[in-house]
Amino acid sequence: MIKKLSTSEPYISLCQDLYSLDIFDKAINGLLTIIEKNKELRITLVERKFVNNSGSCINAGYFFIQCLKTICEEEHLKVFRRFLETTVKEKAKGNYMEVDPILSATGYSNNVIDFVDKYNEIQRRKPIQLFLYG
Amino acid sequence: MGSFICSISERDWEIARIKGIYGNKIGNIRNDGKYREFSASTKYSIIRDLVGMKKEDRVFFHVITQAGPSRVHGMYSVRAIPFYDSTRIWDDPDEIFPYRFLFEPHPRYKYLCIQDANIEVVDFYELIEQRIIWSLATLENERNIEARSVRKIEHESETNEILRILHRDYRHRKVETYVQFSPVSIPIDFMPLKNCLHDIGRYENSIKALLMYKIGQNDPSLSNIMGPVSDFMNEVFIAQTTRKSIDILCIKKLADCARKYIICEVKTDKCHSDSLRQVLYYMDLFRRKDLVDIHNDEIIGCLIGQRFSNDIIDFSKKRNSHGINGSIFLAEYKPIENGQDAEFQRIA
Repeated sequence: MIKKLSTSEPYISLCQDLYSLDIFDKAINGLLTIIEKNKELRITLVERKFVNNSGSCINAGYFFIQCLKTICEEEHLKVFRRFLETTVKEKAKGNYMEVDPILSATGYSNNVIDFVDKYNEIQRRKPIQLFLYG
Repeated sequence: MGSFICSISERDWEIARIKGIYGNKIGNIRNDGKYREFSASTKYSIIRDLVGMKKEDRVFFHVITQAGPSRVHGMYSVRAIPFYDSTRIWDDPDEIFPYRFLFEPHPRYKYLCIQDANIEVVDFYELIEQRIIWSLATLENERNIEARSVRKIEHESETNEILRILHRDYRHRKVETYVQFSPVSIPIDFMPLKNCLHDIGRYENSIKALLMYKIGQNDPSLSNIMGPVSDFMNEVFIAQTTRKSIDILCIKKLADCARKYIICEVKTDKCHSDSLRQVLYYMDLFRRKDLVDIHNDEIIGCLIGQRFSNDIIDFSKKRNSHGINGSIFLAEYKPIENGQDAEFQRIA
């Protein structure tokens, strides 16, 4: 079951207010900051922090989010995975557990849904979360 | 070229170092005080550990002492391929140590061997703690680790570091009496260890042993699938705390100091989702090791079995088509010649 977002422009909404969508909950996912944007591919990289016992803000991973303006086909998924891989290498020393991948699109081909289901079942990584909008 | 570290008792080392012969036992004394041969699977594990050895490979010996700390001695060089022979060499009432290889002082480091240069095993374990030696978790026999006497190690940085420590401690740990080498010859009617290999398709250790042999020989049936490799090891520790190990790790040098690591997981029969999950997890764990340059090195997974479920074939093909570092090969094997050999075919 793919959750539907209550917006017609998730990329713009996210850039304006990360909590404007039903993806993040301020009480749980507080201290989020957009640290990188790719307007052309509509990708945002969000850093997640928490306050530790000493009162310092500590990194607790990232959200890698792409908002497609179209139906997500296999070619889109390839690009998404390629950029995710680069982010995991550059930000998390290759540790996929540090990065939560999120994809939103107006629809998904069956091939993409099947692949993501199997990927989430087989890979011991953060699951790719799919959202619909529009 | 490969490197090995072989465990041996102090009593047997006295004979082995002079005669230049090492033998692996095929049984042990059980709780009832009687000697019994190992199971077929265990015997194949002994063959698996030895059969990838080639002439001129480098060898260190882990000498287990009755009193005081164990030692690592070296460096020696293999002078004949491993073989089976039941001629009695060692003075043991039960055991003939028939899985054997011959060795000699490494030509460049004869001065170490002639004075039986060694290091304390704790110095070796410090290298493991520092992750300088990364392919092993220990040389001891532990409850959660298969008992092994012969271990293949990485032949460049790991081997060079042991060699460096042997030189570092040489002045203090050499013996004053020179070792009088009197090497035995290979028997005329010797049986290459490869010929002791049967039951392929029945035991996981048999197919692993065949793979170790064929990779060592750069056999085209495997190099066509994996490409040529410059080093390979079996039972390589990937997660030290849980004692999980990669069945076979192959290394290929690429341009500009980059390396390709192929993580092989071997199943006796059919591979399902859990087999693929395991190899993909090991790939993710391996890429986080200090020795891996995540920007330049390639990590490949290779799952080997007799059959594969359709879902993992489909998933692997799609995953590979995405062109992201971390491809997965699925290789099917078919036992032939009454389980003494196998044919291999890449199916994804």
